[in-house]
Amino acid sequence: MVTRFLYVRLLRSLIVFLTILLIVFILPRAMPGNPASILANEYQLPSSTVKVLIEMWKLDRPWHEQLIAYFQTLFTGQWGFSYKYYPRTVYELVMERLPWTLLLLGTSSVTVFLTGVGLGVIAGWRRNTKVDSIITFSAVLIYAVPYYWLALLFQYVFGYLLKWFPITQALTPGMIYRNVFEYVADVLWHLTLPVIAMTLTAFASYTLVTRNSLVDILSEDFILALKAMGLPDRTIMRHALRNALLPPVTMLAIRLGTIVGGAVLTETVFSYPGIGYLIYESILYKDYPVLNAAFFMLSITIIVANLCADLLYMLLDPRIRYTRG
Amino acid sequence: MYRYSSRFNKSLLALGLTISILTAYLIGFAGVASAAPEEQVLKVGIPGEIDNFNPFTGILAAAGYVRGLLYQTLLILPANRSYTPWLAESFTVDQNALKVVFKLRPNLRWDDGTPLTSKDVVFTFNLILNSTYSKVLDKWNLRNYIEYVKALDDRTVEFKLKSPFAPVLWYLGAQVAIVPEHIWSKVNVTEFKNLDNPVGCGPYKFVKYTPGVSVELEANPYFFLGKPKIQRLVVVLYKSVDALMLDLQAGNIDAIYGSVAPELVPVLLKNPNVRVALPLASMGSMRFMGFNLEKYPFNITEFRWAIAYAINKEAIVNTVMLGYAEPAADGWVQPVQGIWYNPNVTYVKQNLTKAKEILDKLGFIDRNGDGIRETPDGKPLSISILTISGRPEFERSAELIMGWLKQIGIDARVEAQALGTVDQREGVGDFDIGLMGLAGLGNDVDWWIYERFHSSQAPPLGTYAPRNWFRYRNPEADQLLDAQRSTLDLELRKQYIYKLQEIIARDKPLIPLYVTKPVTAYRIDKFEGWNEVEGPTSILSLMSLKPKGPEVITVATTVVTSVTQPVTQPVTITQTQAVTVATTVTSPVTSPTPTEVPWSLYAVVIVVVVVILAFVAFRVARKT
Repeated sequence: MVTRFLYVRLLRSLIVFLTILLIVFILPRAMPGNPASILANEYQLPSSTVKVLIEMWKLDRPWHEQLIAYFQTLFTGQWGFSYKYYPRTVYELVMERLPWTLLLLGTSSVTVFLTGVGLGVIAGWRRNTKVDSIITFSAVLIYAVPYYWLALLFQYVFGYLLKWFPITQALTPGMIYRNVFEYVADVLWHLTLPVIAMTLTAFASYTLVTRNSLVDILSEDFILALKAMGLPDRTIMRHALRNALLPPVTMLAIRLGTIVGGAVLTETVFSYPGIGYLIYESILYKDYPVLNAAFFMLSITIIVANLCADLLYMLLDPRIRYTRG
Repeated sequence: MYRYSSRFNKSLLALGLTISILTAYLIGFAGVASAAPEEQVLKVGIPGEIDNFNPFTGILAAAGYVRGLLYQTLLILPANRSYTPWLAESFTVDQNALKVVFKLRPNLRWDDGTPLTSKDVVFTFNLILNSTYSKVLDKWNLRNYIEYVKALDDRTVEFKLKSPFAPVLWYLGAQVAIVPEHIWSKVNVTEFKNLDNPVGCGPYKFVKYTPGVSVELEANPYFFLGKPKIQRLVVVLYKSVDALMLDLQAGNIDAIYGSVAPELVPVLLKNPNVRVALPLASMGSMRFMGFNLEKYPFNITEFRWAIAYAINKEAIVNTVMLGYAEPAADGWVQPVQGIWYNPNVTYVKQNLTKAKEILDKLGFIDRNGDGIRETPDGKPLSISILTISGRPEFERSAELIMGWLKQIGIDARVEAQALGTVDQREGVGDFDIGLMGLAGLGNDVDWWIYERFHSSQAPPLGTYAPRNWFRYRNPEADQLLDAQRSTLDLELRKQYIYKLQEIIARDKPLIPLYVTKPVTAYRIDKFEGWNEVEGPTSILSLMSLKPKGPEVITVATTVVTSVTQPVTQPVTITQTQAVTVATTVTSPVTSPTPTEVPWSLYAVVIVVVVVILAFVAFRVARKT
């Protein structure tokens, strides 16, 4: 039963994956404008250079040749040179940004999950009390604040006025570190504002989902039975949580899947080196090699994350493997 | 009982661990904040990223600034717009023999100590003219004009031209940065990123590149004008201009490379440590609108004149640019381009009555009384202004123009689209009016004018045209464009360029709107000696900068001099210099004294390790 479910799920993922790759090939090429002339326009390149570039990037070839080359490069891992950052390779560009992105989004995913679920559990456990309304109301309020505005406010107040935290960058530029602790401290110091800003704007959905799911579970018969058995609140909570955590865990899994996509807004506002800005630029400048590689990675991680979420469901709730597949 | 005690211990341990990590984190901050005062570092903020340090293939502006500090050209074009010796100490142009000779300064060295000789210059130009890389490196088709380059001795380089080529000094002298043969002869030039250890010959040499964060440089003792007084220079990379400005105001950077949005100027001026400058040397960029000359009614010259009469360039300058721009001359060449500008060619002032009269005369009359004119065959006169989205400056200008066109009875609308789309639509001729921007006023006038107006650059509709996308074809203009390119006589060339401006202003294939005045900003609390004329981050400014000592007894006399010096003298440009005579200057530059690591950091780490070990030991003990 389980293996069949897995096979079906894997096959479905593969079809989704190939469809995504095809769309990623077609969409940017269907938009008007070609990468060489965009760069030429932006950076005042002579027209003879445009011709050389188009030839070098094989943009003058028929589309089926380009499609074959596209799949070849993706699956062989030979992602080639970036157009905008020539002669740097896509691999190099991605790899120098990925650690920062993983640090920023990994940390913020953990804080978002802990804050969101923690507050949700408190609100759900004390449903319909003042605590519940305060948490729910403020969560919705903060959720409604545009991210970049909050981030700019943080920069201005904690970075510019109070000078508690640096305004931008992932490191102090030009700093000479005497030891590894100083380096780590500097990185954490720079990480604080972006992570707090990201946490504040993202935790609300986790809080609301956890609260509602917990309220649902707590009204079920088995909880009543546990209460009737005279078990302590702690134990009842443990049983309720195991069920109530399904939706937020799914949300986390999907969030983790999108991590390699970076966070364009955070990276832009805080000038944080990350992959989100690279992808954003690659769309703007039609930097096909970067764009292809980025979406290739993104689709893989998202599909894998979804698959993991499904598997996690099976572990958390054994009934699921009988209802599907 | 047993179960509960274990749980208790676990949570206690978890608590202890969390507290230790938090403490480490906080003490870490204290460590950062209390770090010993480091030596004076000049920090320049730049919006953008680094592509490479290869002067042949690099295109990004932020990296361009660093490349400009590392690699030098034979000549430079400072604010006064006349060729000034740089790596070369003199140059001669022989009109009859078609020869250009550069003589290098004595004792030039690369920043690794190797001598820089004419062999390096010949090597660099041969890469472009005569190598397997020529196809990529020869962006300006110099191969068509230059027969050979050779070294006459260690310090003299001779170029032989195939035919007279007017922009020769621009390309040979000011465009090609010289690279060291001992390094570049061993690499694949087109694929050379040069990010690890670029060897240059500028005022600063490369130390370290931190991807996405900064490029660190240090003073080059071998620089031909001497070693800069500021030992370390850090170029800080930004992704948003807002953050860059905030860091400048907070004092995290000392100057910016690039320009400030006009609306930010009042904010910056409030800060007593920030100065705002309008460098003469940064030429700004031009905004213009081009007509689709293949499309009715834009193919009618009088119709284009009517639109020109509808536009109020001063109003755009004042409302969109808040005064930080100049209305542009109609002849394409602008006053900032110095000797090439024909002062008789100015611009058409707004005159709506005249615009209406012209339209009436052409038969564009509002027959059905809806406020919009109809073409003689009865179609409503409706046009679109195509511009780039996400650039408020462009969109606001386009909207102002739309308003004026409506006043003269033309139903105009603004189409703001992504850069790629706009570029493609204009290139193939799928537009009415295109409102675009263009940098490069500082380039040779041939670059500015030739491809833009020559009919050879105007393919039929449907074929992409990069520069002459409005498709201007005029044999008279073609003749003048070719003539100005193929003469080495400066006066003659000037006459051709003057005449061209008159023709362009008369034909109006496009309407130049305004030329921006780039505003830049820097701080005065740590350094002094900024050069505002050439720009606070220019090489000449970096050479005159010095740390502002706290104990300096300052300003005995401030003499403002205007010096013009002969061309053979090196760094000399007409410039206003503030000469500050200081009696004592104590340099705050101190070598970094290695201080001990705060003991508390070690203590915290030890605590954390002990806690973890205790935890593990506890678990092991439980199991056995």
